[in-house]
Amino acid sequence: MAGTIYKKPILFAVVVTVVVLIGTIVMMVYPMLTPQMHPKLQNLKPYTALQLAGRDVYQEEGCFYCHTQTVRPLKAEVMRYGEYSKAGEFAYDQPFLWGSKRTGPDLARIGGKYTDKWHYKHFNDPRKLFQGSNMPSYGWLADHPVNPKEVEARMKALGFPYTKEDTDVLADKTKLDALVAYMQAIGTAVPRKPKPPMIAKGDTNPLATDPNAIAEGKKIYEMNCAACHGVDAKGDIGPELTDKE
Amino acid sequence: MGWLALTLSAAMYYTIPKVYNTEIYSIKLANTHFWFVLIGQLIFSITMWILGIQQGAMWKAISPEDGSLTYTFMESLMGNYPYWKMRTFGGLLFFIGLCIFAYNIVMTILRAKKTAVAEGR
Repeated sequence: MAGTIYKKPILFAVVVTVVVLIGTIVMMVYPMLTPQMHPKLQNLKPYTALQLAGRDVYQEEGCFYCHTQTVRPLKAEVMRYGEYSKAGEFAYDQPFLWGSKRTGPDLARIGGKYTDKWHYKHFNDPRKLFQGSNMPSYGWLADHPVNPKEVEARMKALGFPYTKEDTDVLADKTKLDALVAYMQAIGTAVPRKPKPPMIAKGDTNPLATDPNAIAEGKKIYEMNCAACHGVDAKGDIGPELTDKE
Repeated sequence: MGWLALTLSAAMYYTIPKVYNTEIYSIKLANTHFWFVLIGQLIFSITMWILGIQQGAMWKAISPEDGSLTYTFMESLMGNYPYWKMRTFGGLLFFIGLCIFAYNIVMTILRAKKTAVAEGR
């Protein structure tokens, strides 16, 4: 009796299709509609109009070919970039820009890491801040104004609820402004963990008078700090570091 | 890149003369093409292979003394440059090989058409 279905190919195909479809709906389509599949961090805010315009520039210029936006939960990676990426961070990222190749560093925690001024300087000429960097200069973006109509159309398509006032800020903004605004928004839904100080409070520096250590430290300063605080520590983007003695 | 490029060119070396009912223009050039592509591809693969391992190792390197990262991202990027230069050279060889291949195929077709006209076909 049960064996007869195997002798009717069309009926069999229909029954198989129905069974597989039921399985697909139960196991895949239904869970996709549940809120657990769309996590959203509490701090996560929708992109502002300017940030969204910057995100478009990020896609237009293909930044994601060289920069990823995911920190994997690996020790070295968390140390280098910051807290690993959470599923709930990307609720407003349509499409996500995780990328897959790091010619440049990961940008998942770039938001708030540097000042706006630093970003303008870096986009204008990355080599001024990182000698030998192969990042292209994007200063020319400052000559291209953002098109508010275009941004508005995209916001509507993505379902971002913006008012006229929100889009009015775009009027005199350039693509570079938008890109910098977007940089500062990336990954800010996850709070930055404060770095523990290298020397605990009350401890004295054991290397304080060691001339070798001072020379080594000067090299590190020139490599990492001089770009913002100036070669002579008189300050530029960052504050002055001399004690004015 | 290497596997597909060589397979495709082999297929064309076989079919193009059959289609035009002739012999390949130059077997010597075909051999030159093979060696250019092979050596170019090997340089390409091996440099990228070393680069990938070096880059990953530099990203992961942690000082055993204080547990800090050994290299900045910039240092790992600077470490890539020599390999990228070697890769460019390998890619150049590969490209020259492909040009030789294209020349060989075009000449085969042109010669076949000329003889066809001459024989009044």
